[in-house]
Amino acid sequence: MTSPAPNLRLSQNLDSGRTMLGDETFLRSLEQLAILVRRVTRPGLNGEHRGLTRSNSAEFADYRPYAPGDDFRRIDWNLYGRVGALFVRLSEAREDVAIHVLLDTSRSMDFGRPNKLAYAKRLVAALSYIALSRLDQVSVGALTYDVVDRAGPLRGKDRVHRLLGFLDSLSARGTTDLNTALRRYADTGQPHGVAIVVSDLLSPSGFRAGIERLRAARMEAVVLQVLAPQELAPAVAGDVELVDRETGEIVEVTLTEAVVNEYQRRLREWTAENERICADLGVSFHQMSSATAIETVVVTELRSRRILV
Amino acid sequence: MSVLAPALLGFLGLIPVIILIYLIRAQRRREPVSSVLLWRNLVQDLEMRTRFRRPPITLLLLLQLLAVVIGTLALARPFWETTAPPARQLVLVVDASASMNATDVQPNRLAEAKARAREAAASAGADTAIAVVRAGPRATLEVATRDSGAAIAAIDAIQPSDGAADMRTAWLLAGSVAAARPEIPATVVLFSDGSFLGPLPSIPASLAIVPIGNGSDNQAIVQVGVRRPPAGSARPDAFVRVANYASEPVERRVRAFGDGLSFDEQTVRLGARATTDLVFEPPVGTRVFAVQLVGGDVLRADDRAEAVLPQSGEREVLLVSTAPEVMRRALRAIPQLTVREVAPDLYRDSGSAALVVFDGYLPPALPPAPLLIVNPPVGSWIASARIGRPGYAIGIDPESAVVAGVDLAAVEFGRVAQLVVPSWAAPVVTGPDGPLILEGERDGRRVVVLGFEPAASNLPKMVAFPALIANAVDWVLAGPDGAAPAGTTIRLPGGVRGDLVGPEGRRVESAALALTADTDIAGLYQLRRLGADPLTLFAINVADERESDVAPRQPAVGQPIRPFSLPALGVEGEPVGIEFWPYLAGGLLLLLVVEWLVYTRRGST
Repeated sequence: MTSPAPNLRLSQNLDSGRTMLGDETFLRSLEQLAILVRRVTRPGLNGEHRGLTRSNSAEFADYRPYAPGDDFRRIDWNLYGRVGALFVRLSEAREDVAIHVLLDTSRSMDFGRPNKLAYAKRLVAALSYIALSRLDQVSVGALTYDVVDRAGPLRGKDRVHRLLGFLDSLSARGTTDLNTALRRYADTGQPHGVAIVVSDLLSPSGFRAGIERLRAARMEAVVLQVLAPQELAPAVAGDVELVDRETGEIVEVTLTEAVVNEYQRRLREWTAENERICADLGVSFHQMSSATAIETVVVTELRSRRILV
Repeated sequence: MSVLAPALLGFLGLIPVIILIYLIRAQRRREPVSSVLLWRNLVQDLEMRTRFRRPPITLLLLLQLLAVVIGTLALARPFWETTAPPARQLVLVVDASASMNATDVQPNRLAEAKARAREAAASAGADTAIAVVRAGPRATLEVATRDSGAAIAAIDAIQPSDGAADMRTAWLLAGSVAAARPEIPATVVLFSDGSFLGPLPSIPASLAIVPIGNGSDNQAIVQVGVRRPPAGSARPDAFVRVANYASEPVERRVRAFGDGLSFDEQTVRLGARATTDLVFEPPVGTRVFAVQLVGGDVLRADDRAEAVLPQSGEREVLLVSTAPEVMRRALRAIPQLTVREVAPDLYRDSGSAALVVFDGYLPPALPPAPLLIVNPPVGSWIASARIGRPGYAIGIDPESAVVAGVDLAAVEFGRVAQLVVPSWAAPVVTGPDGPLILEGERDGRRVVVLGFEPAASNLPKMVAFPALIANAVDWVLAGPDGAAPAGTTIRLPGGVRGDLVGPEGRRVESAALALTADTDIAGLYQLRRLGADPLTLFAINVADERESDVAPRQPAVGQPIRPFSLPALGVEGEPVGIEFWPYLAGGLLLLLVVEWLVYTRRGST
């Protein structure tokens, strides 16, 4: 096991304007985790990501009898000398996994206390650190109505500083169109690996088509929805004009208890619909509040969802 | 509750301003959200689509409105009417006698007196208790109040009269009002022309007199009388006295009326402050004689006088006796009297007799008619025993009409009864063993009791006997014929019911049994039943020289009189009342603290 990356920012203040990872204990716990990849790997460089299949890499795993057509460079001649039969050496696969962390940076993410975008940046940093620790190839994309910025691919923990710098440089702008943005990302010529979408999913056109495009590009997908506490449980505030941060659209409403209850009923239905879409597409989904500690989300919730192992 | 600064209640106008601010605030308060995706068309009926809408009813709004109300009330300086004792008493005595109808001041003296009294009441402060006394033929306390408005209303309601003022009673009444609360200084103010009998007694109050009137140009009929026709004449005589109270001689015509028709007119020349007598002969059968001064002067009420001539016609007397001879003779000697006799055991009250004479007998229940009781039986309610020796008169009431002109000196009363004097009767003739003759009024009719048996005395042989019986009959049958001064309490015939109608058809309040009637206004009064001829007629005239002599006089009062001036009664200092604006101000501060707490709490959540 390697030591934590030096000089990492350890502050946990989400509103400081800079992306942080956490204290040393949290970093060590991240290094114990890995992003679960179910089926999609990329041949080539062997990373430390343990695959689900056997391969012929140098790390021995087992023998099998020789069959015609096998590469007889894999025949274990020492064993032939001892037992007089031909066996081929098998090794455990160490697969090189590409992790694509796609962060929604539209203006709707710049909302809430704690701020959703700051929270999402920290979550992206934590997930990227897990992948970099496993020598996986990490790419980070900033999405609004398009792919507005990107970093990577990066490999190795020493690239974490660059990653944090990139996250710091991101600011909320533009409107959300996840379908378009995900399609554009899938079309960039990196059609493999795991795509982790971090967004509030407040996209008027939804996100199903975008996920389907990722899946068509042989990418495994994970959807992490971040909502602010004020979105999950609005306060009773009387007569207000609700102003959409992205479009400027105004909805006048009297925030009574009955209205808030109706909103929460609608939120539950929307969440259930999002879960159903993800289930249909074989995609993991998890909703979280920006008020929940990152440590709790990463170490407990994502592991219980089998997104991290 | 009243307020001292009602204009400041205008600050209540801040209430709509606050509501308007809330409306504006409610319209402009914006809340940014990440997306309105989930908010669209959330609850249609709760969305605020209209520009002007009901302001949100919040605790803060209610507290602010309450603060405005309390603050405004405090600024207006509200106070409760105090129940503390008044600082002074003001008793206003208004003379409502006949002379106050004089028109030497316009419209008349009473109106002037009432106007001055109103001014005094209006200028009195809230700390002044005001009483109003009307000094008419009867003195009445019209009102005692701390409300000057009520006092003014009572002054306005004072009615004039044609009688002399019972100023002494009114004065004592004012004094008793002042004396009821001796710790409070009192001022009695008399509004009068001074035409009343004095001097007035001293009362526990400071006095002020507002003189009313300034003229004396008045002539009056000060006396009128009629008498039955003398023997041998069918025409009655009417006597009239005319007086001139002016300081200059005058010539006036005097017109006489018989039952409303003029039958004679004479011209009289009157010297300054002089009188003259006139005699008229009303036509035969005249019921009401009237006389009128032609022309005008400052007091019209005393320019006319009326008199009712003695009623003619047969009247029935029921004589209930076992030995009626003596009484029958005496009764039959009286003109226009029909005597009907009945034995005691056959006596029934028919109600038709004008007079019932019980001779030697008394029924268990007395009839309502006037009574002459002769020789009441021993053991009855009026006679306790029989005295053995004859009696004679040792005391005679000289004021009694029953014995007027009757010489009883030589009369020896035989078989005298020991009379029990009831509370309603008074002795007229007294003997050595007690009263011999009583007179009085019981249950609305007059009663004369002769406590001896005439047949057993020498009285029937004397001329005094028919005179005594005639006097007794006249007295018990006497009605209010003739004329009386205004204000006189008139006795009406007992046992007769009807409506008493005064001058100009006004219905007059009378006592429950129609025994007496008040006569404040001069004129002809009738006791009548619907559709029938008057049962009784009587005339009321001013007929008071002091009232007709309208020259203002300074009343004689047994204590100093200070000049009266309205400013002396003016309001001094603040109106009496308990202000409670400091409590409201304290409540307002407390409310502001609560409002601040609510505001900060709301802001922190």
